[in-house]
Amino acid sequence: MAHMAFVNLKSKEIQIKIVYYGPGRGGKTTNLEYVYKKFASRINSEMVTVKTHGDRTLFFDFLPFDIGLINGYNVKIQLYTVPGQVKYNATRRLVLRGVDGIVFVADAMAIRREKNIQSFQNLQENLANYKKRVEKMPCVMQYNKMDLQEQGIPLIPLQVLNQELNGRLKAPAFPASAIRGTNVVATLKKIISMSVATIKKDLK
Amino acid sequence: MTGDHNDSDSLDEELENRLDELFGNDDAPTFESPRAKSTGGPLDELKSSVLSIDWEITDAGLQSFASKIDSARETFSEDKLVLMFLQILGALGAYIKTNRGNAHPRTFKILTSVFHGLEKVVTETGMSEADKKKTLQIELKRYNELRGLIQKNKVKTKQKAIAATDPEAGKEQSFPSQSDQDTESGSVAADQVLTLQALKAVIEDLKGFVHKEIEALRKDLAH
Repeated sequence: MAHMAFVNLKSKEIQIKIVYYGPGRGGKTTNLEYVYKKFASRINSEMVTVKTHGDRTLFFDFLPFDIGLINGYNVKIQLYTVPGQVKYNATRRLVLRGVDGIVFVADAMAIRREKNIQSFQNLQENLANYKKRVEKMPCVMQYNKMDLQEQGIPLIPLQVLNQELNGRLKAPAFPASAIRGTNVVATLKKIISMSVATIKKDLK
Repeated sequence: MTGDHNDSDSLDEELENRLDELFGNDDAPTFESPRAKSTGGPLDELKSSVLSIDWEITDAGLQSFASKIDSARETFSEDKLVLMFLQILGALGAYIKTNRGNAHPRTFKILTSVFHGLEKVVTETGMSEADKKKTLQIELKRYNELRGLIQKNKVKTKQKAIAATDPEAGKEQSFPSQSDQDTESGSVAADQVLTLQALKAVIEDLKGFVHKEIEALRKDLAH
């Protein structure tokens, strides 16, 4: 079994850990904030966020919520973000411990092209630390900040993003605007579905 | 979830339903119905520069930022309000250039905020002069608050330096003062002095502007 969520067969509870990974300033926290602000009353949970040094995520953001009973199991989701800045790799590695699903939030701005590639490589290296491979686990790609095109800011074409980051992986991919919420929920639903399906397979 | 009966479809459906219940009625815009629109002109380029500095402080980025401000100054040479915004942005750029990674962490947030204020004033059609002035005043207030914080940090560092008997104590200061940097680099850089002068000039301008605003408000109230 390559990876396994926290499953309590006695209390019939499953905890699924989903990590939003990607370069700094790419919109990982914005994804969680959108979900939290928009659906606060329904998910009935608190978002924990550690921000210092301006508004950059230095440790991580954490948003837990219950999906409820699925096939007799109480499914609990835990969303995490990692700090994107290069120097916080130890924290990133720590947050990845026990991860069940990855959302890679790429920054579609042309000037961030290299940063995306570096961050994706860093994800692979850090997963290798836990003997995991991104190809073997639920992963969704999100190409964020697509709305900036309307303001004349040069973006990396979707085709190029997909080729450079998702060429081999061929994970489900969503163009998105986390700040407006476009495809934030679609991304989240997809990664939850994939993670649940994988856990079900692992439990068989 | 481990059941061997044909539950795959029902589980998918159950999950789908639960997720719809939780995240249904999401009214986020799609890309087919965008809300934002291009501003056109020099602000687009300036925006790109602001985002670039927010991401990484490089010589090229700062140079480009300064040149985009100059270009915008020419374009809006007749609009005093816009020029004030540009002046604040210029002062923030100069401060970042001098202090680089040691710049107060709020600087970048305020840089972005001032730019958004400017963008609003330039692009929002039908915005009244009073609202434009109000937007400038809000950004001006933020800028002044930042200046206060920077000054406070400097004073704290100096006090610590005087009081400290442990030579290591100064290293804990999150935002080194100018004097710390001078000690590290060995001398006061000429451009730092120039920047301080530039900042003073900007402050004087801003003071003048605020006084005018207060006078105008007083007159408004008197009528």
